[in-house]
Amino acid sequence: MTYPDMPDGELVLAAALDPDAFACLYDRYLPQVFAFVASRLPCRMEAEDVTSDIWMKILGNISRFKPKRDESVPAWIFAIARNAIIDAHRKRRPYADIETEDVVEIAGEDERPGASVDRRIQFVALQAGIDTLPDHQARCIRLRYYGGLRNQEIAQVEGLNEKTVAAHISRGLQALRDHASSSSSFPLLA
Amino acid sequence: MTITQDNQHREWDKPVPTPAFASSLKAKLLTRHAELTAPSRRLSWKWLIAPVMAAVIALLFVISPREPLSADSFLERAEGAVSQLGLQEGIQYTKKKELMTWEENPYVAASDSVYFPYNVPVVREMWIGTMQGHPVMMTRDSAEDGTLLQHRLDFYEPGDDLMIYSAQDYVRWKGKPEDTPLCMYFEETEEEKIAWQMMPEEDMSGTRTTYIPEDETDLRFDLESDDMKMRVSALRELQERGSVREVEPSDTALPHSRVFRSDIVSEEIDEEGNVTGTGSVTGYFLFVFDEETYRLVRQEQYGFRENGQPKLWNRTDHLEQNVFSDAEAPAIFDPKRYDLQDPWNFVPVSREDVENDKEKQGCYANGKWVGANSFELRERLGEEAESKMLIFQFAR
Repeated sequence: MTYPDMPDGELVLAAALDPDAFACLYDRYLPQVFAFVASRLPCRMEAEDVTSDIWMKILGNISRFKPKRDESVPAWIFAIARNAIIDAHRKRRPYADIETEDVVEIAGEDERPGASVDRRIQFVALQAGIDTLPDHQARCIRLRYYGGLRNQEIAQVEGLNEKTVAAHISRGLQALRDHASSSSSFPLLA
Repeated sequence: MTITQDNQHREWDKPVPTPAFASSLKAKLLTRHAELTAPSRRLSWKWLIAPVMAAVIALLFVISPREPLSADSFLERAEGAVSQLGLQEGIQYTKKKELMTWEENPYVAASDSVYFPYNVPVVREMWIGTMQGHPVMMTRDSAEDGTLLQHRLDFYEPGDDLMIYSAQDYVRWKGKPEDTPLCMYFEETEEEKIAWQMMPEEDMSGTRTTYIPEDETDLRFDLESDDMKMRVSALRELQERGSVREVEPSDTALPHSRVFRSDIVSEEIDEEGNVTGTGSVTGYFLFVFDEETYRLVRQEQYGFRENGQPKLWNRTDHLEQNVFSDAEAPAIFDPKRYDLQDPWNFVPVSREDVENDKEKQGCYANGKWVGANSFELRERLGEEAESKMLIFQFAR
């Protein structure tokens, strides 16, 4: 079995010894980790610094990875990411102080001139909105929509049960909609 | 991006790393991977650097002045740190001198305090004063996500005679009702309520109120009470689950008490990779099982000595003699070296316990534990279980 086809658990074990396996793990999870980090730290340089820290920690701890019962590799990785973001969050610049050109690139299909800038502006506005939510709701939403984790995995990262995670996400989304309806700067919420 | 009413649109526009960053980081990681998987090289590096580091650390201990941190200098530093956090601008804060004394509240004697508005990002509210003679910062902020610990470390420097707590720590430890908009609340038994309450959120600029027990004899401790039985039961359950274990019994000065070490906390943190940063690693808890010992502990937290120091410090000699002997006291808890003068810094542990924690000595910050693991503990063990236990948590 090649590394790209290997299940997460086996890949992590291999990655502790083989750099090719680690590279594969990196390719598999970098986009999710970066998106999750940037959702909390929209400034590109900050997001890159923290993402680097996270992967260095993953590398440093990978030989000690012993999944607890039912714990998934994404849950382990995002627990590290969460802690790294916590460490960095106190130094985060306020959203209002971040120049648009400093914001991370946001993926999107619209390639018209100016579309990229619009996406960044909307992204920062959405993050500001998410930050108005209670912490537990904001964390669950970010892990779900930027980290790409399933509710079960979020539950592992956050130490909650799955139903609670679902409830946090549902309530958080509803609150975001309510926030959007009262905020002209809030983007594209249907 | 769109968030639809039925939540069916799951894909949000996501940030993407630049190709240059992705490839650069990958190259760094693979280089580091090669270093880590070269055991002989790593070993030689460690053997070379370790004696040098040991010598430097030893030299620092010898030459470092170890003056206690005064409340004034702590406040000065706190304000500087807050400014560095970018929170100073636009913040209106007030200082209030001599808000409380030990006679008014045995737990908290505020020599000075700084309030920040609730809507300040990250640090929403802060109280700075003294507790048991130590400068203390308490804050209610986004503690659940751990930023609180970072603030603790912002204010802490090795050698400081300083303890920093959070209101939410107390809330969690003491089981404050979640719907009570108070910042800090002591409630150790149903019969006893000693609360230092900051103002409700809607009145942040006002004054705080204080609940003082009318009669200290109300501080009863009934071993036969259902409450106490539940605490003991919960503890046994935790033991069976391996969540806590009893530290090797020592000649403790506190009869009918046991010290437990929460190993599971450190294990969890290790596996999650949080080995640097917060300093919250391992907790020691003193469980008291009889009224006499309970009273002993509690009484020592009351009042002043004639020289103005908290009466609690009167216990020092007794604890030194009985908790620590030369043979048992691990080096990093050597009272002579660290001038630990209050029982909150004494943890009756075996040398082996500390040996096992060597790699985390930095988290202990010069022999004094600066973190709080109540959050982790609650998450791991369950809020309900924790709330049923009588816990005196020893900071070190």
